[in-house]
Amino acid sequence: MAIIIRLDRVMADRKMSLTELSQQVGITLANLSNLKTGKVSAVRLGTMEAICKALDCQPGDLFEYQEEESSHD
Amino acid sequence: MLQLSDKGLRQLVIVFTISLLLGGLAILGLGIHLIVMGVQGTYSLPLVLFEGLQLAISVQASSLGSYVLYCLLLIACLTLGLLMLFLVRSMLISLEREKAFTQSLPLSIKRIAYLMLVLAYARQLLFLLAFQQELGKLTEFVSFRFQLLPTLAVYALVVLVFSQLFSYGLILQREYEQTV
Repeated sequence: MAIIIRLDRVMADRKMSLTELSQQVGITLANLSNLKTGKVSAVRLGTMEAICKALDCQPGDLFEYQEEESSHD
Repeated sequence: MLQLSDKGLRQLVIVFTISLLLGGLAILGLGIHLIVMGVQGTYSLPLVLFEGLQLAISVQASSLGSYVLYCLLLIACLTLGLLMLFLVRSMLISLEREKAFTQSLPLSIKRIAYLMLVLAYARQLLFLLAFQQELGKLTEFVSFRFQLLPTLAVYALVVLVFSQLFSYGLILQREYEQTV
């Protein structure tokens, strides 16, 4: 996918574990792990708000757009 | 909302399994009966009327060719009906095992719809063939007119729409599950 999720990087910067974050955000560890590994197709604004509040960051810090290389080359 | 328990589903699966076995045996028996009739040279065609297969009211086929064609079409129609039962049974098994709507469900519904569509026109052809034979006094009681859009075909189209709705429902369910 062209959208890269940088949740692990922000978490490492804040020295916060996945369990700790899941407790603060209020979503399950499994869902948070799926988000971290990019296995989700959408993120609710409510979840984004809670993550940004817990990690003291902006939504833009969590996502990055990288153009995918064409496979036709 | 209608909710079937595991026990209810299992009982339904058993009923469908028994129906499939009996139906299969009936088709096999009918097939043997038709072959024997053909070998004996009495090209007596069993009529399919609204009440079901009528072995007592039979029509004499005009030639061996029309007899064979009618018999093949009749067996094909019955087998299609049996296939539909089989698909409904596999849908019930899927519901019993996975307890949720899966990808196989709309696929089975779509297959049933296509089978119904084929069956609708195969039946029309069967009636057409039967009514081309010498019916004698039967024409006083039964009549047939070829329909471009038989009732069963309309039902098939409705079932096809339902299968599309199920597919869309599955997409929505997947999206919901992949949203955190």
